[in-house]
Amino acid sequence: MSLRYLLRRLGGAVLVIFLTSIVVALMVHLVPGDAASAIAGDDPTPEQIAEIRERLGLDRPILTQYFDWAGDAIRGDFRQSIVNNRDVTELITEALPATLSITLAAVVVALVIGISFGAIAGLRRGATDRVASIVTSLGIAMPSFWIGMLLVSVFSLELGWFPAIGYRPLSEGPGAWLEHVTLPAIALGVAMAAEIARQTRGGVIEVMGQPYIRTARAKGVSGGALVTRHVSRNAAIPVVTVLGLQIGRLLGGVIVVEQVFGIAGLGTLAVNAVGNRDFPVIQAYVVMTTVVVVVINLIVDLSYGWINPKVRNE
Amino acid sequence: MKKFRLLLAVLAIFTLIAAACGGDDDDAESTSTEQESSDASGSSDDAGEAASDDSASSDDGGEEASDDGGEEASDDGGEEASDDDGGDEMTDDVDRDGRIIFATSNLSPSLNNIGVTSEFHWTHIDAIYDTIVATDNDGNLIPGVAESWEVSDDLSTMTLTITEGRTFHDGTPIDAAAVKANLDRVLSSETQWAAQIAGIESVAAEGNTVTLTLQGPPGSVLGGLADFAGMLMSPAGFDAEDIDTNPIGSGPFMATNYSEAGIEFTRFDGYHDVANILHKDLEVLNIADDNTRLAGLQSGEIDIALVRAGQVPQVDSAGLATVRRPITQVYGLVANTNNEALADPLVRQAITHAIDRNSIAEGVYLGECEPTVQPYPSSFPGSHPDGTVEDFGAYDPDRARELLAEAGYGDGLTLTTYTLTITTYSDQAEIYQAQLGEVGITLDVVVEEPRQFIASVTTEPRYDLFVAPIPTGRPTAAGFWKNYYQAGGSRNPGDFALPDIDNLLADLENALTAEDTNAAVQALVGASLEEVPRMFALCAPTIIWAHQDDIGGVEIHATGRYNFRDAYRMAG
Repeated sequence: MSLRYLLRRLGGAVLVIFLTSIVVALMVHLVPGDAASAIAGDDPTPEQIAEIRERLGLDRPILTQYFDWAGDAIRGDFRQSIVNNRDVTELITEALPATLSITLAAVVVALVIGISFGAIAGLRRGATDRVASIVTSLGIAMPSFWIGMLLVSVFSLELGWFPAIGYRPLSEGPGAWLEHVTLPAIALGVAMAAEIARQTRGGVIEVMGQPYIRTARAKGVSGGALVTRHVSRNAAIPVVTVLGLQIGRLLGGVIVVEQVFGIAGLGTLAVNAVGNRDFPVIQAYVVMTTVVVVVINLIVDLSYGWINPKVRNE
Repeated sequence: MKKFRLLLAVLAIFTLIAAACGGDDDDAESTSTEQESSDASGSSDDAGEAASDDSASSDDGGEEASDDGGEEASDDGGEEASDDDGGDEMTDDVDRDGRIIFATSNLSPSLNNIGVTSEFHWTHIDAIYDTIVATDNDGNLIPGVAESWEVSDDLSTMTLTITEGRTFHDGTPIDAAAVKANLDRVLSSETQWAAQIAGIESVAAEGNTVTLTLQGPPGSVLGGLADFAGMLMSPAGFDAEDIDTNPIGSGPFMATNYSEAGIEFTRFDGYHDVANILHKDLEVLNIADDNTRLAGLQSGEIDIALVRAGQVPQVDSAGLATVRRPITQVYGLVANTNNEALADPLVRQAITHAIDRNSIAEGVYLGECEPTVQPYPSSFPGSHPDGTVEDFGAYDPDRARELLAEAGYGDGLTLTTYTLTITTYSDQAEIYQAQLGEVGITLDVVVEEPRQFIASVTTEPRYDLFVAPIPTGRPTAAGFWKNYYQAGGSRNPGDFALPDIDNLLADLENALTAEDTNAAVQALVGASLEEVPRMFALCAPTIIWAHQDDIGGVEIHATGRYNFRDAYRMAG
């Protein structure tokens, strides 16, 4: 992996972040209603709105507003929320742990369920495989909010095993944290698990048909050794690819899951900001999620070389 | 093979669980029968549906809590708990160190009384502030920080006498000077709350009296003093950087933490009436989704929350109590009289007769929304006794067609109708679409999210009709009549004017007694019915709060607001 390649990718990432933020800025301004109308209240007069707009500088050209914001953002100042004057960095820092916890736990859920399910399906063809295909199709088809509601009904309201709402930070104890994160993580991770299971199954089936596997078997390698030494690494590339793609989906899905579980994470922050046309908060959220997606995709690209030396050489 | 069977068994169990959870209604019904005997609330259904938005959730209205739960709650808490005499008896059973968790949608973006953007947020900040004038649960003005007030005969001045001995949360006294500072601050602000006391020309403070020189009707000023504009903050905190999250108020609770997740409060031990504040901590959780709030109630993680009509069976089956109250808000359609057809009383009358109020109220809102042609439920003292649906809005599609033909629209009429992205109102729009369609009026429905919708009906009016909840009594009735029925009103792009509206409004705004106020409101209702209103009321919904059975003192204000001053948790 050359330094030049890395620099090229980083340059591309910066361009993606810039373009995304400018597109979002334009979209926010194109939608009717602005932060001034949110601040003016339920029964505003046009004069009141105009006054607030002028005070906040919302009457300036869109691009002027954008570049003003971008100049501050580059210096690490994401400004204050227009609606409640709270520091945007503080708002994001406050909301991030909940979203991060749910998302990372969802990835763990997806990897554990997806890889084991997919590997079993790929290795045991026939009825097991067919059942796995049905289950993964269901997993992909079921929307996360529905799974969330189902989990709450069964595990919170009927069995009382988990809380139905809210989030507790790790600082309140790992037990409380885990209790509050488990159901949202499952709701969020199921679709990803199903996708990973599919890719794992496909990868395993393909690898199992390769001549080197036949050779390994002929040499007496079997069972766990065969899977860990010869199958897993070769079948991992499509799984890693889909993992990278699914992270973006998770960041979208977490918005819905947070609503279902009443969690005040980044998703809730974003929904409220969009409702109030709170430009600095929307922009900070978009930049942050874009950075996350871009970085993860970069890591995925780089990991190909580690997983498969042939890719590194190419 | 064994593993395959095991997989099949797991799948079958999953399917069974899914099927069991899918039959929600049946389950709720069957369990509610068992629970009724042990449940404080006997309620079975409700209105008001949807609306996790500001206006919709801020329903309000009529008289007393109508079901068992409501009465029990108000008897136990509202009276005994807040009553000095009964308080001692109550104290033994109450957990004075208790914490009460209330869930709401759409958290106030600010705790600063004039930084609040919607009336709906009253409930979120009321605990922090006392007001200059207060209102009782029926909406009548009662002494607040001002123990009395007097209006000069020529209505040019109002003198407020400030109660001595009260302090702000920072220990500074609430005196006449502080009241003046607060009023000056509101008046000079660029907020909508300044308009509540725009009738004040100047404020003077001396000793324990505040003298207001008036340039507008005293009734409106008093209403404003009992609302956001009358909330008192310590002048030392006016310029504080954290004014939006940690204001220095004057009420029974202090905010200790504000985040997107919610607000935490703790009791202010220096409050003048601290003996009657029966819980120590209060938490307002920000949960936008109706089903999530219900799940929190069912699991016991939430103590009090607003519920919708369709959720009442589940509330009952969970053994939760309810308090309900008809509200001074109506569901309905509003016409823009800039549209030539809608400016014609014949067309408006046709629309009135084309809406089947009774069947919608019963079928869609399960009887929890009182059919009406007025802006108020019949229990509201200002409602007109003769303004019945039968007399002014009987469902009669044939008559509607005749009226349309008479107005020259026999071949049909197309109207653009805006509504909100909230099921209650988008569903209503579809029903109107079907019913008006039967008489030849085609509705082109445009559904918008709340921020867009507010722009579409106020600053950039694009509608012929809009479907939304209309608050009609907050903080006083005058606001509704000004906005909708006086030329230049903020919701009146066609400058529709009721005959003699200025005088009728002046009577209302100058009224200083409940009797005069109600008479003035009735006169306005009567005039609007005679003229054929531009707001086609459908029904006045009932607001329903569900709470855990160890929580008492839950009462709904006549305006639909709720304060936490009387709430308590039973010990043990």
